[in-house]
Amino acid sequence: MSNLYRSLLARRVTPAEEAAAAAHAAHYRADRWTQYAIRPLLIALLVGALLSGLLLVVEIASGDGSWQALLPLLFLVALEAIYTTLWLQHPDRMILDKPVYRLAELVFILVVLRVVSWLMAGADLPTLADLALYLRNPGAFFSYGRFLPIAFLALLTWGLSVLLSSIFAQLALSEFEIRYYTQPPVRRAAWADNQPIRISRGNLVGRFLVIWVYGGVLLLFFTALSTLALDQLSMRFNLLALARLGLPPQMLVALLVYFLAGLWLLSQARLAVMNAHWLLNGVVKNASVERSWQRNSLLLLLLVALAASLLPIGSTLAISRILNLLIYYSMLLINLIATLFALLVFAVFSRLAREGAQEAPERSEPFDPAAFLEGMEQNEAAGGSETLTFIFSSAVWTLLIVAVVAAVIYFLRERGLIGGDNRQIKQNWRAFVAWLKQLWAALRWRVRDARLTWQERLRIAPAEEATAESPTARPRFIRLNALSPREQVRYFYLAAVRRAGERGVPRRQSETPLEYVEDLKANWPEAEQEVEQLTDAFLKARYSPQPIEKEDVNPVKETWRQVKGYLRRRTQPPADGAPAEEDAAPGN
Amino acid sequence: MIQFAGLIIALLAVAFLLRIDFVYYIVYVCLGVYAASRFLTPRGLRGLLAGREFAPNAFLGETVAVTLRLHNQKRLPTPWLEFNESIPPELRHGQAMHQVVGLKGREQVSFTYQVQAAQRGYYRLGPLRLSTGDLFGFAARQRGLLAADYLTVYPRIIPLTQLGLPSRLPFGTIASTQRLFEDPARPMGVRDYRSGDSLRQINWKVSAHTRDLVVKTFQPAISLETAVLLNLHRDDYEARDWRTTTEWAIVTAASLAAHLINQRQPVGLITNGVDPLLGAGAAEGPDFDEVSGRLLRRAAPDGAARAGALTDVPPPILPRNGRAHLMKVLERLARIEVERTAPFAQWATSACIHLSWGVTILAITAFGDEATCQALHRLLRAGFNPILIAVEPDYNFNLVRERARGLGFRAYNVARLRDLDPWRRPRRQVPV
Repeated sequence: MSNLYRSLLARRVTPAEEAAAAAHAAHYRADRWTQYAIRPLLIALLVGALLSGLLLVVEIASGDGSWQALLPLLFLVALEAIYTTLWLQHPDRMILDKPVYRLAELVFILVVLRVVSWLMAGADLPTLADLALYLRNPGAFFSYGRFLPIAFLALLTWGLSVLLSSIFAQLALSEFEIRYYTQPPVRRAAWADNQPIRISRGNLVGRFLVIWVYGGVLLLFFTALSTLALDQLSMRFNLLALARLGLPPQMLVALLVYFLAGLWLLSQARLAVMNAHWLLNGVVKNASVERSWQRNSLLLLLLVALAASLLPIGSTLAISRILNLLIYYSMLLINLIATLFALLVFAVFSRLAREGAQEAPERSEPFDPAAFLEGMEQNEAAGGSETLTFIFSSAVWTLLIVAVVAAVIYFLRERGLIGGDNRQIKQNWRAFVAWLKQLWAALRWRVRDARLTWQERLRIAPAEEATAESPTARPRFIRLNALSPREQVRYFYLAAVRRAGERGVPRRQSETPLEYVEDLKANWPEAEQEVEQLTDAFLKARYSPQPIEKEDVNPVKETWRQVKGYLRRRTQPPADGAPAEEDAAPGN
Repeated sequence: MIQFAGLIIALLAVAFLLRIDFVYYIVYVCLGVYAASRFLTPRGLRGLLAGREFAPNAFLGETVAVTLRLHNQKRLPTPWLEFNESIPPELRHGQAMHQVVGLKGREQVSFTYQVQAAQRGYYRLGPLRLSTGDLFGFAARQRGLLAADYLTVYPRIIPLTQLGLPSRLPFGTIASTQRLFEDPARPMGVRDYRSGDSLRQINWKVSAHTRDLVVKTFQPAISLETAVLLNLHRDDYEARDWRTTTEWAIVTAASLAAHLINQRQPVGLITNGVDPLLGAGAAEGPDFDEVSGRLLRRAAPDGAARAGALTDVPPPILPRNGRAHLMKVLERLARIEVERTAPFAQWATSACIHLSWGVTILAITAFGDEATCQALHRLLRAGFNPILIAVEPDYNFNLVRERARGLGFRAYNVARLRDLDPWRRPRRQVPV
């Protein structure tokens, strides 16, 4: 197929088809929350839980309780590795996804860790003597403040995180796949050369499962180690006699987090596989699928976890006891065989030993690293030249510093954090500021909206309160046209009530409108008909569910004007005009 | 899943050997998720109700909206449900209906797609293939099916105003242009005797019973019965363009039938084409072309030996009037296929034996050759009123017209749309 023909084919796509393809593609792009929040967090939790088990074992073995403090640091390392992997998946940055860049990233992490471990060790600024020591002996710089074990743990965390996040990054649909497979068939035929290479996502899920299962077994191993009492272990090593000593809470949390996060990630992996299957088969994906998947998988996990917590635990089960017995006798048999074999071997070796009896070697002194280093330094001082040592160590430091600085600059520059025009940072900052402004505007709008709503609701209330406190007080800032027809009718009646109150015929609190209308008629007999009409209109507006149209308001307004005219004719309030006790609230 | 089984075994081993109670909890969670996936997935489709709603008949050029309804009757959600509606390519209008949705408990969703009736035929819509699965990949996909429904696309109907066909019936003809007679074969009721009534019309039994003279009343005979005799024998048409010409013959037949029914006249249809729904192999269910989606004629077991046999020719639709009857005629015309059955000249006479005397026969065939004219002449002699409508272009059709006039019937050449113009003019301009 010639290129010209292909380009002609590609042009035959109508705008409607273009729009459909764009909508189709939008549903296949992973939800940003899932891609940038849920999934990275789950991977980091998984790795963190595994490392937590290791740290706990180290803590128990060393008797030093500060190892668990490294967990947040390792969690951050995991997050950094995951987000860098995600960042490198962008089509514009795929060119950077090379071992050199990942090495530079690792060097950067090690530099940060060196600083952090220094701070964790509580060290002051290095003195001249310290610097001289580090210059002569670079190894001392790295061995100070647990840097090496921390670096090892960080390396482990980083590697595992990169591995898992790479699997999930490959499982997710790439932009190329989405763009290609959402095109109409005509255009796809024209773009046949650009067809993305198919990935075996089933194998990737299998890889994840293997890593998760082996990690789980490792965590179980750490769990087992964390339950051992070392003093018992030193006395008699019997696997079956290792009684449960209770799990440390950290280990319990680590186990729970590891397996729940793993199962949820398994569900995510399955979703990615299904997404690829649907995309390649031209299935239009509904927006509800992703949400439904996340919601249902989480719900199922939580329900199962809840149900499992209600089930009887291991040793209380009869079957567990039976199995324990079986295992006990099996182990006894293996033990017996092993003992017999050991006896046999011992017999053979003792016979050989007797034949070639030799002197027992002297008991060696316990190894002391400090004395060993001191001895090494003394040997160097005695045997080698001070100048040569200085030159050698200076060269090492120079190379190291150059390599580290180059790696850090490379890593940070490509991330857009230093150098260049920092466009990405500026862009991100502007986006952040714009988001803040938008948030602030939305908040202001909501507050204003709420204020207006409350004003609307309480519009009658100020008139009521004012009337109650001072009969002459008038409600202010009421725009009649802004009120609904129903509220306008109520306003006319209440205004008339207020005026009548001012003229010495107040409405008592216990008085209903129909009782009050009798008072009004008694005082203004000439306005009998108008007052009745106004009261009827008020009652309808207040209690009737029937809608009140704008056309209904004008006659009421006319009536109100007439009533107002009648009320004006009595200018003096009665002498015994008590403060109005009216209750002109809409509630009556 | 071997890895997962390995994990469970490792967990159990650690739990049993080291008696770490919490590991049992992890085992329960893992097994619980596995069991829930295996348990719920097969039930995913059980409480699901699927349905398809659409108008089963469409005229050519119409767009038909087909609505698919999916109702999850269970309380449990269906996390994902993939459905694929099979739509015949000839009807496709817009995107295919192949989607995936998530359904909440008791949720009902509906999806509408359009099909374009671009070609007459009998099409299959569906089946709707459904599949669902679990969220973790522990259970196999479950598949379901909503059976197919059928859409009939009628042939194109060209509106006609007046045919001006002659009638030979002495007791009935079209509308008000002729006298009204009563048909003694169609008794309708009785009424009181009036002076001048024929004694032969007196109902003596009823008169004796009522002790008063009453006479029979009859339905008025105003109908002109017409039968469309459609020739779809493939060899009668030009081999070069037989598809187009036979389609045009069907369009002509449908237009004439629709016009006559609209004039409240009884119309029947007799054809020597093949209706795949009624022909050989119909009992095994309809067979559809995978490319076009149209109904196919199932191949006869003895293949070529059956070619030319009249056994696959559908039974005639005898003249009736009314919209329902028109639909019946149009449905037959929608499904009918051209086949090598029997040449028109041999078939025409025997095909009309069920018709009443005096029926007008609109013979739609390819040419007005000698054999065709002789066959129509035989029909004329048998008491029918044949009219030849030739659909193949014939520049010497005047010869045919003269020959037909000599044999006592009329002939028309309707090879293209403009040939129908005389029948499409406003009524005033056409002589009755």
